[in-house]
Amino acid sequence: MFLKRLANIVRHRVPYREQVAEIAEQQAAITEVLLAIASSPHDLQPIFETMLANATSFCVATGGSLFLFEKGGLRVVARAGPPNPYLADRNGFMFPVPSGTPHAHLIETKSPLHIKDLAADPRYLKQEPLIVTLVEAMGVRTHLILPMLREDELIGAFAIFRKEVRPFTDKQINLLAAFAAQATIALESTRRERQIRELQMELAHANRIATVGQLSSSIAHEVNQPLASVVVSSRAALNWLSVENPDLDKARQSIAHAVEGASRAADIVGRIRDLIKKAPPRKDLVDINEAIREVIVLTRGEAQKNGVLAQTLFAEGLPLVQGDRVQLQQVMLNLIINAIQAMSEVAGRARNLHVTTSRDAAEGIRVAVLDSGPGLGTSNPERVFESFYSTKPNGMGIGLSICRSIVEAHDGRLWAVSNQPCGAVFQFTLRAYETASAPQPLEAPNTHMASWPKSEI
Amino acid sequence: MTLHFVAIVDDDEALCSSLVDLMRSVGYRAEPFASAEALLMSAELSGFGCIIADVHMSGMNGLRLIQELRELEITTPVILITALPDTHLDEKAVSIGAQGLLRKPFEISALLDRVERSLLK
Repeated sequence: MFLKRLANIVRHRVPYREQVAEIAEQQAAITEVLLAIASSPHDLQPIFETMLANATSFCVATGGSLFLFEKGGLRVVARAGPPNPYLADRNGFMFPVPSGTPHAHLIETKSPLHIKDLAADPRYLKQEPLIVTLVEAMGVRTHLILPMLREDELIGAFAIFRKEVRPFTDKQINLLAAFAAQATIALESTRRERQIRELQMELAHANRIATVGQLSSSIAHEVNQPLASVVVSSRAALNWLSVENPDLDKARQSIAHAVEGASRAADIVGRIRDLIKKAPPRKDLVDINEAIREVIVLTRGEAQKNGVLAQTLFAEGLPLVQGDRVQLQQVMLNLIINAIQAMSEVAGRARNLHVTTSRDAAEGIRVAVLDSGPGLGTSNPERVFESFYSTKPNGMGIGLSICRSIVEAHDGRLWAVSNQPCGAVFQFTLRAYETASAPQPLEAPNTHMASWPKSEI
Repeated sequence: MTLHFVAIVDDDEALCSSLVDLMRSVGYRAEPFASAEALLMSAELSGFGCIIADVHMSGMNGLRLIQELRELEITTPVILITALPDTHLDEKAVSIGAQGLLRKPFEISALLDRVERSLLK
Protein backbone atom coordinates (compact mmCIF):
# COMPACT_ATOMS: atom_id res chain seq x y z
CA MET A 1 0.00 0.00 0.00
CA PHE A 2 2.85 2.33 0.80
CA LEU A 3 4.55 1.59 -2.47
CA LYS A 4 1.35 2.56 -4.24
CA ARG A 5 1.32 5.87 -2.46
CA LEU A 6 4.93 6.49 -3.27
CA ALA A 7 4.13 5.72 -6.84
CA ASN A 8 1.25 8.19 -6.71
CA ILE A 9 3.48 10.86 -5.34
CA VAL A 10 6.01 10.42 -8.10
CA ARG A 11 3.28 10.37 -10.72
CA HIS A 12 1.44 13.44 -9.57
CA ARG A 13 4.43 15.32 -8.27
CA VAL A 14 2.59 16.09 -5.02
CA PRO A 15 4.86 17.80 -2.53
CA TYR A 16 6.40 14.60 -1.37
CA ARG A 17 8.39 15.61 1.65
CA GLU A 18 5.21 15.78 3.77
CA GLN A 19 3.81 12.58 2.30
CA VAL A 20 6.96 10.63 2.93
CA ALA A 21 7.26 12.01 6.41
CA GLU A 22 3.74 10.89 7.26
CA ILE A 23 4.28 7.45 5.81
CA ALA A 24 7.51 7.11 7.70
CA GLU A 25 5.68 8.13 10.85
CA GLN A 26 3.05 5.50 10.30
CA GLN A 27 5.69 2.85 9.65
CA ALA A 28 7.46 3.81 12.82
CA ALA A 29 4.21 3.63 14.78
CA ILE A 30 3.37 0.18 13.43
CA THR A 31 6.87 -1.04 14.09
CA GLU A 32 6.56 0.17 17.64
CA VAL A 33 3.34 -1.79 18.10
CA LEU A 34 4.94 -4.90 16.63
CA LEU A 35 7.87 -4.50 18.99
CA ALA A 36 5.46 -4.16 21.90
CA ILE A 37 3.74 -7.38 20.86
CA ALA A 38 7.04 -9.19 20.42
CA SER A 39 8.26 -8.25 23.86
CA SER A 40 5.11 -9.25 25.71
CA PRO A 41 3.13 -11.85 23.80
CA HIS A 42 0.85 -12.64 26.70
CA ASP A 43 0.28 -9.34 28.41
CA LEU A 44 -1.77 -7.19 26.11
CA GLN A 45 -1.76 -4.10 28.27
CA PRO A 46 1.52 -2.55 27.01
CA ILE A 47 0.41 -3.29 23.47
CA PHE A 48 -2.88 -1.49 23.95
CA GLU A 49 -1.20 1.46 25.56
CA THR A 50 1.34 1.74 22.76
CA MET A 51 -1.35 1.52 20.12
CA LEU A 52 -3.39 4.23 21.72
CA ALA A 53 -0.43 6.50 22.37
CA ASN A 54 0.52 6.25 18.71
CA ALA A 55 -3.00 6.86 17.50
CA THR A 56 -3.44 9.93 19.68
CA SER A 57 -0.10 11.46 18.81
CA PHE A 58 -0.53 10.77 15.10
CA CYS A 59 -3.70 12.71 14.93
CA VAL A 60 -2.61 15.38 17.37
CA ALA A 61 -5.54 14.58 19.62
CA THR A 62 -6.09 15.57 23.24
CA GLY A 63 -6.87 12.06 24.29
CA GLY A 64 -8.50 8.80 23.37
CA SER A 65 -9.64 5.35 24.35
CA LEU A 66 -9.14 1.88 23.02
CA PHE A 67 -12.11 -0.43 23.43
CA LEU A 68 -12.55 -4.13 22.98
CA PHE A 69 -15.97 -5.29 21.88
CA GLU A 70 -17.12 -7.90 24.36
CA LYS A 71 -20.49 -9.39 25.20
CA GLY A 72 -22.34 -6.74 23.30
CA GLY A 73 -20.60 -3.81 24.95
CA LEU A 74 -17.40 -1.83 24.66
CA ARG A 75 -14.81 -2.48 27.35
CA VAL A 76 -12.19 0.18 27.98
CA VAL A 77 -8.73 -1.37 27.90
CA ALA A 78 -6.53 1.68 27.50
CA ARG A 79 -6.95 5.40 27.82
CA ALA A 80 -4.82 8.37 27.01
CA GLY A 81 -5.24 12.00 27.92
CA PRO A 82 -6.64 13.88 30.90
CA PRO A 83 -8.12 11.88 33.81
CA ASN A 84 -11.79 11.14 33.50
CA PRO A 85 -13.89 11.82 36.61
CA TYR A 86 -16.85 9.96 35.13
CA LEU A 87 -15.19 6.65 34.55
CA ALA A 88 -13.75 6.00 37.97
CA ASP A 89 -10.51 4.08 38.41
CA ARG A 90 -11.95 0.73 37.49
CA ASN A 91 -10.27 -1.96 35.48
CA GLY A 92 -12.05 -3.16 32.43
CA PHE A 93 -14.85 -0.66 32.74
CA MET A 94 -17.74 -1.60 30.47
CA PHE A 95 -18.63 1.51 28.50
CA PRO A 96 -22.36 2.06 28.49
CA VAL A 97 -23.87 2.16 25.00
CA PRO A 98 -27.31 3.71 25.27
CA SER A 99 -28.96 3.67 21.88
CA GLY A 100 -28.47 6.76 19.81
CA THR A 101 -25.01 7.47 21.17
CA PRO A 102 -21.98 7.45 18.87
CA HIS A 103 -20.82 4.19 20.44
CA ALA A 104 -24.14 2.47 19.82
CA HIS A 105 -23.95 3.76 16.25
CA LEU A 106 -20.53 2.15 15.94
CA ILE A 107 -21.76 -1.22 17.14
CA GLU A 108 -24.75 -1.15 14.81
CA THR A 109 -23.14 0.11 11.63
CA LYS A 110 -19.49 -0.89 12.14
CA SER A 111 -18.52 2.29 10.38
CA PRO A 112 -16.48 5.26 11.51
CA LEU A 113 -18.16 8.25 13.01
CA HIS A 114 -16.63 11.66 12.88
CA ILE A 115 -18.37 14.35 14.89
CA LYS A 116 -16.99 17.79 14.19
CA ASP A 117 -18.40 19.32 17.35
CA LEU A 118 -20.04 17.17 19.97
CA ALA A 119 -21.38 20.28 21.71
CA ALA A 120 -23.43 21.12 18.63
CA ASP A 121 -24.70 17.57 18.30
CA PRO A 122 -28.49 17.08 18.78
CA ARG A 123 -27.78 14.37 21.35
CA TYR A 124 -25.95 16.88 23.54
CA LEU A 125 -28.69 19.43 23.09
CA LYS A 126 -31.15 16.76 24.16
CA GLN A 127 -29.00 16.36 27.30
CA GLU A 128 -28.27 12.67 26.70
CA PRO A 129 -26.33 11.94 29.94
CA LEU A 130 -23.34 10.16 28.38
CA ILE A 131 -22.83 12.89 25.82
CA VAL A 132 -23.18 15.59 28.45
CA THR A 133 -20.44 13.93 30.48
CA LEU A 134 -18.17 13.63 27.49
CA VAL A 135 -18.59 17.28 26.63
CA GLU A 136 -18.71 18.88 30.06
CA ALA A 137 -16.58 16.61 32.24
CA MET A 138 -14.02 15.65 29.64
CA GLY A 139 -14.17 18.61 27.30
CA VAL A 140 -14.72 16.51 24.20
CA ARG A 141 -15.55 18.56 21.13
CA THR A 142 -14.23 16.92 17.98
CA HIS A 143 -14.78 13.20 18.32
CA LEU A 144 -13.70 10.37 16.03
CA ILE A 145 -14.59 6.72 16.53
CA LEU A 146 -13.02 4.11 14.29
CA PRO A 147 -14.08 0.49 14.32
CA MET A 148 -11.54 -2.33 14.50
CA LEU A 149 -12.83 -5.01 12.20
CA ARG A 150 -11.65 -8.52 11.55
CA GLU A 151 -13.37 -10.10 8.59
CA ASP A 152 -16.31 -7.77 9.01
CA GLU A 153 -16.68 -8.60 12.68
CA LEU A 154 -16.38 -5.79 15.19
CA ILE A 155 -13.65 -6.57 17.70
CA GLY A 156 -13.00 -3.15 19.12
CA ALA A 157 -12.70 0.54 18.48
CA PHE A 158 -10.38 3.50 18.63
CA ALA A 159 -11.87 6.73 19.84
CA ILE A 160 -9.93 9.98 19.84
CA PHE A 161 -11.01 13.49 20.58
CA ARG A 162 -9.88 17.06 20.68
CA LYS A 163 -10.72 19.70 23.23
CA GLU A 164 -11.02 22.28 20.50
CA VAL A 165 -13.29 22.15 17.49
CA ARG A 166 -10.91 21.09 14.75
CA PRO A 167 -12.04 18.24 12.56
CA PHE A 168 -9.56 15.49 11.82
CA THR A 169 -8.28 15.58 8.26
CA ASP A 170 -9.05 12.84 5.75
CA LYS A 171 -5.39 12.00 5.77
CA GLN A 172 -5.38 11.55 9.52
CA ILE A 173 -8.52 9.45 9.38
CA ASN A 174 -7.13 7.26 6.60
CA LEU A 175 -3.85 6.81 8.31
CA LEU A 176 -5.64 5.86 11.50
CA ALA A 177 -7.85 3.37 9.67
CA ALA A 178 -4.88 1.70 8.00
CA PHE A 179 -3.12 1.59 11.31
CA ALA A 180 -6.20 0.11 13.03
CA ALA A 181 -6.38 -2.66 10.43
CA GLN A 182 -2.79 -3.70 11.01
CA ALA A 183 -3.16 -3.45 14.76
CA THR A 184 -6.26 -5.63 14.59
CA ILE A 185 -4.36 -8.42 12.89
CA ALA A 186 -1.60 -8.21 15.42
CA LEU A 187 -4.18 -8.31 18.22
CA GLU A 188 -5.77 -11.43 16.82
CA SER A 189 -2.52 -13.35 16.64
CA THR A 190 -1.78 -12.68 20.30
CA ARG A 191 -5.30 -13.73 21.21
CA ARG A 192 -4.55 -17.30 20.13
CA GLU A 193 -1.43 -17.35 22.23
CA ARG A 194 -3.49 -16.03 25.11
CA GLN A 195 -6.10 -18.73 24.66
CA ILE A 196 -3.39 -21.36 24.93
CA ARG A 197 -2.11 -19.80 28.12
CA GLU A 198 -5.63 -19.62 29.49
CA LEU A 199 -6.02 -23.35 28.82
CA GLN A 200 -2.70 -24.04 30.52
CA MET A 201 -3.87 -22.14 33.53
CA GLU A 202 -7.11 -24.08 33.61
CA LEU A 203 -5.18 -27.35 33.48
CA ALA A 204 -2.81 -26.30 36.23
CA HIS A 205 -5.79 -25.22 38.30
CA ALA A 206 -7.51 -28.56 37.72
CA ASN A 207 -4.36 -30.34 38.82
CA ARG A 208 -4.17 -28.27 41.99
CA ILE A 209 -7.77 -29.03 42.84
CA ALA A 210 -7.30 -32.71 42.10
CA THR A 211 -4.18 -32.97 44.27
CA VAL A 212 -5.77 -31.09 47.12
CA GLY A 213 -8.85 -33.26 46.69
CA GLN A 214 -6.73 -36.37 47.06
CA LEU A 215 -5.49 -35.01 50.32
CA SER A 216 -8.83 -33.93 51.65
CA SER A 217 -9.08 -36.52 54.39
CA SER A 218 -5.50 -35.91 55.46
CA ILE A 219 -6.11 -32.20 55.43
CA ALA A 220 -9.19 -32.62 57.58
CA HIS A 221 -6.93 -34.51 59.94
CA GLU A 222 -4.41 -31.69 59.92
CA VAL A 223 -7.10 -29.17 60.77
CA ASN A 224 -8.62 -31.37 63.45
CA GLN A 225 -5.36 -31.59 65.36
CA PRO A 226 -5.15 -27.91 66.28
CA LEU A 227 -8.93 -27.77 66.70
CA ALA A 228 -8.77 -30.62 69.20
CA SER A 229 -6.21 -28.63 71.13
CA VAL A 230 -8.55 -25.59 71.07
CA VAL A 231 -11.45 -27.61 72.44
CA VAL A 232 -9.40 -29.29 75.13
CA SER A 233 -7.63 -26.14 76.31
CA SER A 234 -10.88 -24.15 76.38
CA ARG A 235 -12.49 -26.78 78.55
CA ALA A 236 -9.47 -26.77 80.83
CA ALA A 237 -9.81 -22.97 81.15
CA LEU A 238 -13.46 -23.34 82.15
CA ASN A 239 -12.48 -25.91 84.73
CA TRP A 240 -9.79 -23.67 86.20
CA LEU A 241 -12.40 -20.92 86.56
CA SER A 242 -15.24 -23.02 87.95
CA VAL A 243 -13.78 -23.90 91.32
CA GLU A 244 -14.22 -21.93 94.52
CA ASN A 245 -10.84 -20.23 94.16
CA PRO A 246 -10.48 -19.89 90.41
CA ASP A 247 -6.89 -20.19 89.18
CA LEU A 248 -6.73 -17.18 86.87
CA ASP A 249 -3.16 -17.77 85.78
CA LYS A 250 -3.79 -21.31 84.70
CA ALA A 251 -7.00 -20.22 82.96
CA ARG A 252 -5.13 -17.52 81.11
CA GLN A 253 -2.49 -19.97 79.93
CA SER A 254 -5.12 -22.41 78.78
CA ILE A 255 -6.92 -19.74 76.80
CA ALA A 256 -3.69 -18.54 75.22
CA HIS A 257 -2.99 -22.10 74.16
CA ALA A 258 -6.47 -22.39 72.66
CA VAL A 259 -5.94 -19.21 70.68
CA GLU A 260 -2.70 -20.57 69.23
CA GLY A 261 -4.48 -23.71 68.13
CA ALA A 262 -7.24 -21.75 66.43
CA SER A 263 -4.66 -19.67 64.62
CA ARG A 264 -2.87 -22.78 63.37
CA ALA A 265 -6.12 -24.22 62.07
CA ALA A 266 -6.90 -20.95 60.30
CA ASP A 267 -3.45 -21.01 58.68
CA ILE A 268 -4.03 -24.43 57.20
CA VAL A 269 -7.40 -23.41 55.83
CA GLY A 270 -5.76 -20.34 54.34
CA ARG A 271 -3.13 -22.50 52.63
CA ILE A 272 -5.80 -24.70 51.08
CA ARG A 273 -7.72 -21.71 49.87
CA ASP A 274 -4.60 -20.30 48.24
CA LEU A 275 -3.92 -23.58 46.51
CA ILE A 276 -7.36 -23.98 45.01
CA LYS A 277 -7.69 -20.40 43.90
CA LYS A 278 -7.45 -19.80 40.22
CA ALA A 279 -5.23 -16.81 39.90
CA PRO A 280 -2.79 -15.67 37.26
CA PRO A 281 0.88 -16.38 38.02
CA ARG A 282 2.48 -13.95 40.44
CA LYS A 283 5.96 -12.60 40.71
CA ASP A 284 6.75 -12.58 44.40
CA LEU A 285 9.94 -13.21 46.32
CA VAL A 286 9.57 -16.65 47.81
CA ASP A 287 11.43 -18.30 50.68
CA ILE A 288 11.57 -21.82 49.32
CA ASN A 289 12.15 -23.52 52.67
CA GLU A 290 9.07 -21.85 54.18
CA ALA A 291 6.94 -22.68 51.17
CA ILE A 292 7.98 -26.32 51.33
CA ARG A 293 7.40 -26.51 55.09
CA GLU A 294 3.78 -25.50 54.52
CA VAL A 295 3.31 -28.27 51.99
CA ILE A 296 4.85 -30.80 54.39
CA VAL A 297 2.22 -29.83 56.95
CA LEU A 298 -0.55 -30.48 54.44
CA THR A 299 0.83 -33.87 53.47
CA ARG A 300 1.72 -34.99 56.99
CA GLY A 301 -1.58 -36.80 57.46
CA GLU A 302 -1.24 -38.61 54.16
CA ALA A 303 2.29 -39.69 55.06
CA GLN A 304 1.17 -40.95 58.43
CA LYS A 305 -1.77 -42.80 56.96
CA ASN A 306 0.59 -44.66 54.65
CA GLY A 307 3.23 -45.36 57.26
CA VAL A 308 5.70 -43.05 55.56
CA LEU A 309 8.41 -41.42 57.63
CA ALA A 310 8.97 -37.93 56.24
CA GLN A 311 12.18 -36.06 56.91
CA THR A 312 13.43 -32.73 55.72
CA LEU A 313 16.91 -31.30 55.35
CA PHE A 314 16.83 -27.64 54.45
CA ALA A 315 19.92 -25.60 53.73
CA GLU A 316 20.13 -22.36 55.70
CA GLY A 317 20.61 -18.96 54.13
CA LEU A 318 19.24 -19.86 50.72
CA PRO A 319 18.57 -16.95 48.38
CA LEU A 320 14.99 -16.04 47.59
CA VAL A 321 13.29 -17.17 44.41
CA GLN A 322 11.23 -14.84 42.27
CA GLY A 323 8.06 -16.55 41.24
CA ASP A 324 4.65 -17.84 42.12
CA ARG A 325 4.57 -19.36 45.60
CA VAL A 326 1.39 -21.35 45.02
CA GLN A 327 2.70 -22.85 41.80
CA LEU A 328 5.96 -23.89 43.46
CA GLN A 329 3.94 -25.44 46.27
CA GLN A 330 1.89 -27.23 43.63
CA VAL A 331 5.08 -28.82 42.30
CA MET A 332 6.04 -29.96 45.80
CA LEU A 333 2.55 -31.25 46.44
CA ASN A 334 2.63 -33.36 43.29
CA LEU A 335 6.11 -34.74 43.94
CA ILE A 336 5.42 -35.60 47.56
CA ILE A 337 2.06 -37.25 46.88
CA ASN A 338 3.64 -39.23 44.03
CA ALA A 339 6.39 -40.40 46.37
CA ILE A 340 3.93 -41.42 49.10
CA GLN A 341 1.73 -43.26 46.64
CA ALA A 342 4.71 -45.03 45.07
CA MET A 343 5.89 -46.22 48.47
CA SER A 344 2.43 -47.39 49.52
CA GLU A 345 2.80 -50.05 46.83
CA VAL A 346 5.80 -51.71 48.45
CA ALA A 347 5.62 -53.85 51.52
CA GLY A 348 8.36 -55.24 53.66
CA ARG A 349 10.68 -52.29 53.76
CA ALA A 350 10.80 -48.89 55.41
CA ARG A 351 8.94 -46.11 53.67
CA ASN A 352 11.24 -43.11 53.81
CA LEU A 353 10.52 -39.74 52.26
CA HIS A 354 13.26 -37.12 52.26
CA VAL A 355 12.81 -33.55 51.12
CA THR A 356 15.97 -31.49 50.82
CA THR A 357 16.98 -28.03 49.67
CA SER A 358 20.48 -26.89 48.83
CA ARG A 359 22.48 -24.29 47.00
CA ASP A 360 23.21 -25.27 43.44
CA ALA A 361 26.45 -23.64 42.35
CA ALA A 362 25.47 -23.09 38.76
CA GLU A 363 21.73 -22.78 38.86
CA GLY A 364 20.74 -21.25 42.18
CA ILE A 365 18.62 -23.53 44.33
CA ARG A 366 18.08 -27.25 44.16
CA VAL A 367 15.13 -29.10 45.69
CA ALA A 368 15.01 -32.89 45.88
CA VAL A 369 12.30 -35.37 46.85
CA LEU A 370 13.66 -38.84 47.57
CA ASP A 371 11.61 -41.94 48.18
CA SER A 372 12.23 -45.62 48.89
CA GLY A 373 9.55 -46.87 46.55
CA PRO A 374 9.74 -49.16 43.53
CA GLY A 375 11.88 -46.67 41.61
CA LEU A 376 11.81 -45.64 37.97
CA GLY A 377 12.34 -49.09 36.55
CA THR A 378 14.50 -49.76 33.53
CA SER A 379 12.51 -47.48 31.25
CA ASN A 380 13.70 -44.05 30.24
CA PRO A 381 13.25 -41.75 33.26
CA GLU A 382 12.10 -38.94 30.95
CA ARG A 383 9.00 -40.93 30.09
CA VAL A 384 7.28 -40.07 33.37
CA PHE A 385 7.19 -36.41 32.38
CA GLU A 386 5.21 -37.02 29.25
CA SER A 387 1.63 -35.78 29.34
CA PHE A 388 -0.94 -38.48 30.00
CA TYR A 389 1.68 -41.03 31.08
CA SER A 390 0.60 -42.65 34.30
CA THR A 391 1.28 -45.86 36.16
CA LYS A 392 -1.79 -45.43 38.34
CA PRO A 393 -5.14 -46.90 37.33
CA ASN A 394 -6.96 -43.63 37.94
CA GLY A 395 -4.08 -41.36 37.13
CA MET A 396 -4.57 -38.62 34.60
CA GLY A 397 -0.87 -38.34 34.04
CA ILE A 398 -0.69 -34.58 33.79
CA GLY A 399 0.84 -33.82 37.19
CA LEU A 400 4.50 -34.21 36.26
CA SER A 401 4.24 -32.42 32.93
CA ILE A 402 2.60 -29.50 34.71
CA CYS A 403 5.35 -29.56 37.33
CA ARG A 404 7.92 -29.40 34.60
CA SER A 405 6.30 -26.42 32.88
CA ILE A 406 6.04 -24.60 36.20
CA VAL A 407 9.71 -25.23 36.98
CA GLU A 408 10.74 -24.18 33.49
CA ALA A 409 8.69 -21.01 33.82
CA HIS A 410 10.91 -20.27 36.84
CA ASP A 411 14.05 -20.76 34.77
CA GLY A 412 14.80 -24.18 36.21
CA ARG A 413 14.77 -27.82 35.21
CA LEU A 414 13.06 -30.86 36.66
CA TRP A 415 14.41 -34.36 36.23
CA ALA A 416 14.38 -37.80 37.85
CA VAL A 417 17.06 -40.32 38.70
CA SER A 418 17.15 -43.57 40.60
CA ASN A 419 17.70 -43.50 44.32
CA GLN A 420 20.13 -45.85 46.05
CA PRO A 421 19.53 -48.57 47.08
CA CYS A 422 15.94 -48.28 45.85
CA GLY A 423 13.35 -45.71 44.93
CA ALA A 424 13.48 -42.51 42.95
CA VAL A 425 14.75 -38.96 43.29
CA PHE A 426 12.79 -36.16 41.69
CA GLN A 427 14.73 -32.93 41.76
CA PHE A 428 14.49 -29.47 40.31
CA THR A 429 16.51 -26.29 40.21
CA LEU A 430 15.24 -22.76 40.54
CA ARG A 431 17.00 -19.58 39.59
CA ALA A 432 17.93 -17.50 42.60
CA TYR A 433 16.68 -13.94 42.66
CA GLU A 434 19.43 -11.49 41.80
CA THR A 435 19.28 -8.16 43.58
CA ALA A 436 20.96 -6.25 40.73
CA SER A 437 18.40 -4.04 38.95
CA ALA A 438 17.44 -4.62 35.31
CA PRO A 439 18.56 -2.06 32.69
CA GLN A 440 16.03 0.74 32.13
CA PRO A 441 14.05 0.67 28.85
CA LEU A 442 14.53 3.64 26.50
CA GLU A 443 11.90 6.39 26.65
CA ALA A 444 9.42 6.23 23.77
CA PRO A 445 9.44 9.39 21.63
CA ASN A 446 5.64 9.92 21.94
CA THR A 447 4.05 12.64 23.97
CA HIS A 448 3.57 11.38 27.49
CA MET A 449 -0.02 10.43 28.17
CA ALA A 450 -1.64 9.82 31.52
CA SER A 451 -1.91 6.09 32.05
CA TRP A 452 -4.75 4.19 33.59
CA PRO A 453 -4.67 1.22 35.94
CA LYS A 454 -4.09 -2.03 34.11
CA SER A 455 -7.28 -3.70 33.02
CA GLU A 456 -7.79 -7.39 33.67
CA ILE A 457 -7.51 -8.87 30.25
CA MET B 1 -1.70 -40.52 94.66
CA THR B 2 -0.66 -43.04 92.05
CA LEU B 3 -4.26 -43.90 91.25
CA HIS B 4 -4.90 -40.49 89.81
CA PHE B 5 -1.82 -40.18 87.67
CA VAL B 6 -2.53 -39.88 83.95
CA ALA B 7 0.02 -40.19 81.15
CA ILE B 8 -0.63 -38.44 77.84
CA VAL B 9 1.23 -39.84 74.85
CA ASP B 10 1.02 -37.80 71.61
CA ASP B 11 3.65 -36.53 69.19
CA ASP B 12 1.53 -33.43 68.59
CA GLU B 13 3.09 -31.27 71.26
CA ALA B 14 0.26 -28.72 71.39
CA LEU B 15 -2.48 -31.31 71.87
CA CYS B 16 -0.38 -33.22 74.35
CA SER B 17 0.07 -30.18 76.57
CA SER B 18 -3.65 -29.27 76.20
CA LEU B 19 -4.61 -32.72 77.45
CA VAL B 20 -2.17 -32.49 80.36
CA ASP B 21 -3.71 -29.11 81.23
CA LEU B 22 -7.20 -30.59 81.07
CA MET B 23 -6.31 -33.47 83.37
CA ARG B 24 -4.74 -31.14 85.90
CA SER B 25 -7.74 -28.78 85.75
CA VAL B 26 -9.88 -31.66 86.92
CA GLY B 27 -7.53 -32.42 89.76
CA TYR B 28 -5.47 -35.29 88.40
CA ARG B 29 -1.71 -35.50 88.17
CA ALA B 30 -0.59 -35.64 84.56
CA GLU B 31 2.60 -35.95 82.51
CA PRO B 32 3.18 -35.49 78.79
CA PHE B 33 5.16 -37.92 76.61
CA ALA B 34 6.17 -37.09 73.05
CA SER B 35 6.32 -40.72 71.99
CA ALA B 36 5.36 -44.24 73.03
CA GLU B 37 9.05 -45.02 73.37
CA ALA B 38 9.50 -42.16 75.83
CA LEU B 39 6.64 -43.50 77.95
CA LEU B 40 8.10 -47.01 77.97
CA MET B 41 11.39 -45.63 79.22
CA SER B 42 9.76 -43.68 82.03
CA ALA B 43 10.67 -44.62 85.59
CA GLU B 44 7.06 -44.12 86.67
CA LEU B 45 5.61 -46.44 84.05
CA SER B 46 3.88 -48.72 86.49
CA GLY B 47 2.54 -45.81 88.51
CA PHE B 48 0.07 -44.46 85.99
CA GLY B 49 -3.60 -44.97 86.70
CA CYS B 50 -4.54 -44.31 83.08
CA ILE B 51 -2.79 -43.72 79.77
CA ILE B 52 -4.22 -41.64 76.93
CA ALA B 53 -2.35 -42.36 73.70
CA ASP B 54 -2.71 -41.24 70.08
CA VAL B 55 -3.06 -44.11 67.63
CA HIS B 56 -0.98 -42.54 64.87
CA MET B 57 2.47 -41.41 65.84
CA SER B 58 5.75 -41.48 63.96
CA GLY B 59 7.64 -44.34 65.49
CA MET B 60 5.65 -46.72 67.68
CA ASN B 61 1.91 -46.22 67.33
CA GLY B 62 -0.79 -46.48 70.02
CA LEU B 63 -1.84 -50.02 69.15
CA ARG B 64 1.75 -51.31 69.37
CA LEU B 65 2.10 -49.49 72.68
CA ILE B 66 -0.77 -51.51 74.16
CA GLN B 67 0.88 -54.73 72.99
CA GLU B 68 4.20 -53.69 74.51
CA LEU B 69 2.57 -52.85 77.82
CA ARG B 70 0.85 -56.22 77.83
CA GLU B 71 4.15 -57.96 77.25
CA LEU B 72 5.59 -56.02 80.17
CA GLU B 73 2.56 -57.22 82.13
CA ILE B 74 1.43 -53.68 82.83
CA THR B 75 -2.33 -53.57 83.12
CA THR B 76 -2.82 -49.81 83.12
CA PRO B 77 -5.92 -49.00 81.07
CA VAL B 78 -5.16 -47.24 77.79
CA ILE B 79 -7.58 -44.88 76.08
CA LEU B 80 -6.79 -44.37 72.40
CA ILE B 81 -7.41 -41.14 70.52
CA THR B 82 -7.20 -40.63 66.78
CA ALA B 83 -7.83 -37.99 64.14
CA LEU B 84 -8.36 -40.42 61.29
CA PRO B 85 -11.87 -41.72 60.61
CA ASP B 86 -10.68 -45.24 59.76
CA THR B 87 -13.52 -47.50 60.86
CA HIS B 88 -11.32 -50.57 61.18
CA LEU B 89 -9.67 -48.93 64.14
CA ASP B 90 -12.68 -49.57 66.31
CA GLU B 91 -12.34 -53.32 65.84
CA LYS B 92 -8.60 -53.25 66.32
CA ALA B 93 -8.90 -51.15 69.45
CA VAL B 94 -11.46 -53.50 70.96
CA SER B 95 -9.54 -56.63 70.07
CA ILE B 96 -6.38 -55.29 71.56
CA GLY B 97 -8.03 -54.34 74.78
CA ALA B 98 -8.05 -50.57 74.66
CA GLN B 99 -10.36 -48.86 77.11
CA GLY B 100 -11.90 -46.89 74.30
CA LEU B 101 -11.21 -45.13 71.01
CA LEU B 102 -12.12 -41.48 70.73
CA ARG B 103 -11.95 -39.38 67.61
CA LYS B 104 -10.61 -35.86 67.53
CA PRO B 105 -11.93 -33.35 68.08
CA PHE B 106 -13.64 -35.28 70.79
CA GLU B 107 -16.36 -34.84 73.29
CA ILE B 108 -14.43 -33.76 76.36
CA SER B 109 -17.08 -35.17 78.67
CA ALA B 110 -16.74 -38.57 77.04
CA LEU B 111 -12.98 -38.46 77.48
CA LEU B 112 -13.13 -37.36 81.11
CA ASP B 113 -15.73 -39.99 81.80
CA ARG B 114 -13.52 -42.73 80.36
CA VAL B 115 -10.53 -41.46 82.30
CA GLU B 116 -12.47 -41.41 85.57
CA ARG B 117 -13.74 -44.90 85.07
CA SER B 118 -10.25 -46.14 84.22
CA LEU B 119 -8.76 -44.51 87.29
CA LEU B 120 -11.32 -46.11 89.53
CA LYS B 121 -10.48 -49.62 88.36
